[in-house]
Amino acid sequence: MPSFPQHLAKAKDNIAFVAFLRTSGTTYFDWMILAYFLAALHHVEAYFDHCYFKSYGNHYDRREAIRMDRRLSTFWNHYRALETYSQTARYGVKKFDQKYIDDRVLPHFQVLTTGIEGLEHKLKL
Amino acid sequence: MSESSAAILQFASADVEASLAELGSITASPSPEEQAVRPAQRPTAVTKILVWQTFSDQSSFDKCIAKVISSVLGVKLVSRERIGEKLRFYVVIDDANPKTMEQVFDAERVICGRFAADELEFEVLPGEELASVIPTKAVSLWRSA
Repeated sequence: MPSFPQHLAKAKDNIAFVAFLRTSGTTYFDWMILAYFLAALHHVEAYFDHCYFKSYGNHYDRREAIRMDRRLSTFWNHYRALETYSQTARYGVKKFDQKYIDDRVLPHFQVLTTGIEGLEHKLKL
Repeated sequence: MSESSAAILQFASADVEASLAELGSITASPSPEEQAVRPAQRPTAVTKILVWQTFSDQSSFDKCIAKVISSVLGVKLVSRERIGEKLRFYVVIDDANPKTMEQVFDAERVICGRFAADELEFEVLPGEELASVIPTKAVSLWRSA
């Protein structure tokens, strides 16, 4: 079972990948959305490992754990929004652009990660 | 059945095909002639609520899901199909307003809490291919006026 520092490292890798895509002037915005979601997912996993020594190996169990967690459930909508956008990016045919990501994806990522950092200072990205 | 429940289910057993045809105007690709005059098509999403295993009866799901989901501004249609013991609900969302999706997630939390002993899963899909996502044999439970 990965430890929370390992999850934080993976989250940071994904954030660095987003930064790389942004500076490269990419048109592959679906990958940017996926990276935001993966960073969020690892941040959530870091929270569960740090607080409860727990890990979730599939989306369904992780969703249920977030929904049932008194503190993390505050950010339920933001996690679900990121998960949904990443599903659409992976399996749908919708074409995204930078404005869509900045208006509709990034705010959810910022609220979720800032929120987790606020819950546990050791989980700062 | 109470009057409010009857109102929620007023479209029960109605053919969903007509509803989809109407909603198709939201998602269908316009012809080249139409593209010149029509505004950009409105984005749509479809939430599938999959009930894998349940100890609750179908009417409880119908009433609760129709009631909770239909209270979200921007939801256009709620329908349901039954495959053996499994239930699938389809919720068509006008995705132009990001707040609509967030409120659907609030509804998801309420519904999952209400049926905590059952196994439910929510999937949100892009609605570009609306007709292929929702089977026409699904029963319409609610649609916006």
